[in-house]
Amino acid sequence: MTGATTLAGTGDLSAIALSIRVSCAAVVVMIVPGVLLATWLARTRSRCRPIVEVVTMAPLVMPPVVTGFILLIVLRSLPFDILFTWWAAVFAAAIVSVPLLIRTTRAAIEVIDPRLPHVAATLGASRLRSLRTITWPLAWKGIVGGVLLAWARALGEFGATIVVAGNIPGETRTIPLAIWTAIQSPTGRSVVPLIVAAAALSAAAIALSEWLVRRTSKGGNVVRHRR
Amino acid sequence: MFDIDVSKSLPTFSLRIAATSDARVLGIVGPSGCGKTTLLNCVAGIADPDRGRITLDSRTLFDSSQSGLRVPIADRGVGFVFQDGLLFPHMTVEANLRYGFHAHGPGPGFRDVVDILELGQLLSQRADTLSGGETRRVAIGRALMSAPRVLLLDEPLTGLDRRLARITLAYLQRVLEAFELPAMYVSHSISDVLLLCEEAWLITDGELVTQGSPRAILMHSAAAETFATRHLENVFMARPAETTREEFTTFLVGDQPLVVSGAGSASGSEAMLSIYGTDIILARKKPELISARNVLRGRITDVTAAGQRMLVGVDVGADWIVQLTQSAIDELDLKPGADVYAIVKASAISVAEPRVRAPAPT
Repeated sequence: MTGATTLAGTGDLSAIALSIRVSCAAVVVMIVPGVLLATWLARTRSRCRPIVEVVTMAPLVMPPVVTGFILLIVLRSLPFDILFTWWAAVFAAAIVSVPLLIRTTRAAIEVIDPRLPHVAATLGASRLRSLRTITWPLAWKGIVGGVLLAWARALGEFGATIVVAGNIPGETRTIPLAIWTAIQSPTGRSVVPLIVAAAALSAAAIALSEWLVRRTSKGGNVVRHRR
Repeated sequence: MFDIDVSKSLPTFSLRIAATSDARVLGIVGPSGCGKTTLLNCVAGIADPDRGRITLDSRTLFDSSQSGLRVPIADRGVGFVFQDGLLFPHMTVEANLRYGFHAHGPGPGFRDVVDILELGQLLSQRADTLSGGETRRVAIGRALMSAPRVLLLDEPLTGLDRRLARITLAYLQRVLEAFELPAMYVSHSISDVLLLCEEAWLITDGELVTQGSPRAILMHSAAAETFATRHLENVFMARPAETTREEFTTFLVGDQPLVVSGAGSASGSEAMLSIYGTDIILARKKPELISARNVLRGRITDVTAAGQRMLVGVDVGADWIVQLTQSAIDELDLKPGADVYAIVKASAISVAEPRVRAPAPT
């Protein structure tokens, strides 16, 4: 037995590894739709924008159990069954944390001069090329910051996960669920290693995210010329 | 060349312009907020008119009557130079220049554009490290590289100090001559338009007030309110003469010498000179024993009221416009055809560094 397993226990290590895997997979699932949605929200003048804003931000403020319940209904209606699997935990974490990615990315795009895509268009660039070469590269700090923030939120996801994925050891028991299980246990097993792991991972992600977001909002990406 | 008939409602006024022009370089002048930039945005496709038609170089870009014909920005074949250059700040100068390389068809070579705008030393620099003048030159070069059918210039000298603005103007003039490109040049400075444009449209509160040669526009009574309070600058190109003294450089205006102080070493190439219209004195007889270094023979071409001041056109080998009071006109009996002497201090003449080379071959 290694020193690490002595301190944390194999169940704890499994929960930590699973949490990292789930939150990373959640980020992979959410990043494309999240960035696209954030780009649209930052630039559109559509009347639908307020509705889309409310829908995308709702998981941020709704009780996670309610989000989980809505997700349960959605997942049940799918032609394939992923309820109470690792994938359900991934989707739960993605839905709950994607608003943070959207908010941060959108803020980063909004500080970019809105005329730059017009310049690209006059130079013959398609909308996609303009996004790929101008908007997203200029907003990269905000996008990475948003990804880290969303990853940290996914790491701590509990309420929606337990509704749609249950609490299956090695399959869906992430760090928060392992802590909850340990607290419920009559043996009173120590949760300190799990708490330390969760706090350290989250703090690192948030610190990095804040640093990047601060650099973006200071105008590092905005056109500023010496005159 | 330019056939525009558009209307567009804006928060404070309505833009209604209906005019045509065969000029290769068309100036759009008027006070700030009169709709000049909106008109240019409509031509580029950045904004859409409420209704109307835009035809450039026999190609219709927008026509609300043809079931809403609207050519997308990328397909309009326009090169747009924005007020502040708007380079892509995260890219190098070379990447900016190559971004839309020949996007609209065959066009000038990369090296031709780099050479005429003297951008060779800047190619590897990031765009956000450039000075204001360098930024404008790169922005002009980037638009040229896309091989546009028409160049749209939205006050490209705004925000530059007088010296830098003149240098950039010299580059711009060379580019427009060398590549013989049709252009719309938006400006609130009639001085720039006088130098660059064959025709100008004067717009006020969204309406076309008058159109004609830039000089006719300046002399038009409707322009008085717009330009009377501004410092009118005479901008012209001149070649340095062979004789130079230590603190002066002598240029030739027609066949007359013009002594300029502090010009540095003129290398034989043309330089852009500018003199404010208020810095020129007119005399009916040749003055003697006078401290001013320049006394040029000239003939009055026109006299027009411009608000509180009078504008007097004088041909001294270049067309100068002098701002005088009505009483001075009356006392000197200044009329078109009258012979005069134009007196200018050497220190009143500003010189843009004569760095611009002869136009590159097209």
